[in-house]
Amino acid sequence: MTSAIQVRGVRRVFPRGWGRPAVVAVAEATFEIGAGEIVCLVGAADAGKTTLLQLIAGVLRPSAGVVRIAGWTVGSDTRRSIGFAPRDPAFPPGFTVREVLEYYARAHAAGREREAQVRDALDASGLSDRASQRAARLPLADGRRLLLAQSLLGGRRIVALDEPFAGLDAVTRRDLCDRLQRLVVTGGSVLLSSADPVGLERLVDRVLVLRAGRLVVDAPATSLLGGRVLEVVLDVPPLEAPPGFRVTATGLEADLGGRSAESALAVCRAHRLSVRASRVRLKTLDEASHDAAEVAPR
Amino acid sequence: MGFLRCALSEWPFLRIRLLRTRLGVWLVLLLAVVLRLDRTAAVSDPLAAVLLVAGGGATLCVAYLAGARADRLAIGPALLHPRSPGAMTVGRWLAATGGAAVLVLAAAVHVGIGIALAGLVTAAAMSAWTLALAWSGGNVLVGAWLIWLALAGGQSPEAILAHPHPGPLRCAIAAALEILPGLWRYRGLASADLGAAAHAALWILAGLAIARSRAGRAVVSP
Repeated sequence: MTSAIQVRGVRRVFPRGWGRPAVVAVAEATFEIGAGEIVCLVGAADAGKTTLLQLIAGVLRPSAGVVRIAGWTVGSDTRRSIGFAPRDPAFPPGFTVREVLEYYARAHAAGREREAQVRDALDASGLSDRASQRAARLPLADGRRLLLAQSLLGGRRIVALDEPFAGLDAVTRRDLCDRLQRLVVTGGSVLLSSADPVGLERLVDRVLVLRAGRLVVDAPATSLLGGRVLEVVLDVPPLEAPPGFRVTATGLEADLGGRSAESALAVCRAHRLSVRASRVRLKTLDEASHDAAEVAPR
Repeated sequence: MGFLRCALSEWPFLRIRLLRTRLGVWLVLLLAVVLRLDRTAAVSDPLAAVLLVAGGGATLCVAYLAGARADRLAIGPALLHPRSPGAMTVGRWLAATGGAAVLVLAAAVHVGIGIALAGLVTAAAMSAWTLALAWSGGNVLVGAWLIWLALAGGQSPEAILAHPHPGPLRCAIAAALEILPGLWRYRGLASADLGAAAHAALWILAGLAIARSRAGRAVVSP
């Protein structure tokens, strides 16, 4: 079966001129994304996430390697298959939400089919009640929804979203997560980037971690999120953390690994720390991806 | 078919900007001022008036349809859909020329078909050239062009060089008037001057090629 997105040995170099060394934004990235998958590209700022998404969307050309969308080498033809939502909303001034979508949809269809596409995109993004508002004046959350809506026009089922949750409140994040999940249930594929993947644990199937342009982790979210963390609230903050613990605002925290919570708490007691409360929780996506990137070979 | 559909998809820009920005007001003002000045002049020159309306109208239309920073930023997202930079450029040029054409026809309603045609061709050449300016440097360049058009657009190079000691500045202005689209040159269109027609056609093609190249860079970086 053909992958929705196939990236093979992709490298992107930006020359800087004046004898300065070129910047390698993406180095030898190789991965595939299948139908019905939501994959999150995680990494610090300048890790190469946006560049990789732009290479996949056809905004940038790779210096080496190949990107295929639904089996076709990326180019102007693949714009019928993949939708891309850049990080920053930019719509023609003066246009309403519906007019923006109609303008984009004219490149895909005509007549009633176009009207149906616009209606579906408005429904899918939750913007039906804002259709007559000026797009350039939308709040950030609705701007992001409109970016998602335009990326789905033309019946495109593969979407690449650059930081779709940046700057959004928790309610909007959850709403957007639900909409993306509905998209993949119907066979779509989503590749999204996030510098701050807090709260995306329930959404993503796989995590790709980029560090300085290099793909260092490609793992299912379930394998990354299996780790447990012991949080300990102390009466008095410790001067230094016992072995295996790190100091937090309220006390201490430790990755349990194969240990039991009791044995870790015994370490606290051995260091004469008065424990007020403790709890065991699962690792969050940002912790798991950060830890995985740390142990990955440099 | 796809090219045509994509080119025509740029037409809503004209309707929306005419209705929701000051473009309509500026165009009406331009028409009224130019016609008023022509009627109160000692010697009326309807051809010069129509050409000025065509050049000014085309420049204003491009400024409002394509020159704003937000409009230039929106080129990239629009080209992420199956729409070519060429179709987008031709569509936006046609929309700007269409806006100026309405103005030209209003100005030339009593002066004959030859002058009207000269005005339409002038509007087409001016909007292609201004679109290239707009997508190269935004409304800063378009504004500078409008000022140039108002101050020197109607002058011929011969008139500039008629000074006994022209100097390098006058020579440079004369060269620019000779090369760039100029209202003085397109006066010949009314009398079916082939040189003027070829100049206009060349600038339409060159302007569209430059604008297309600028639009293409907005979406695919080599």
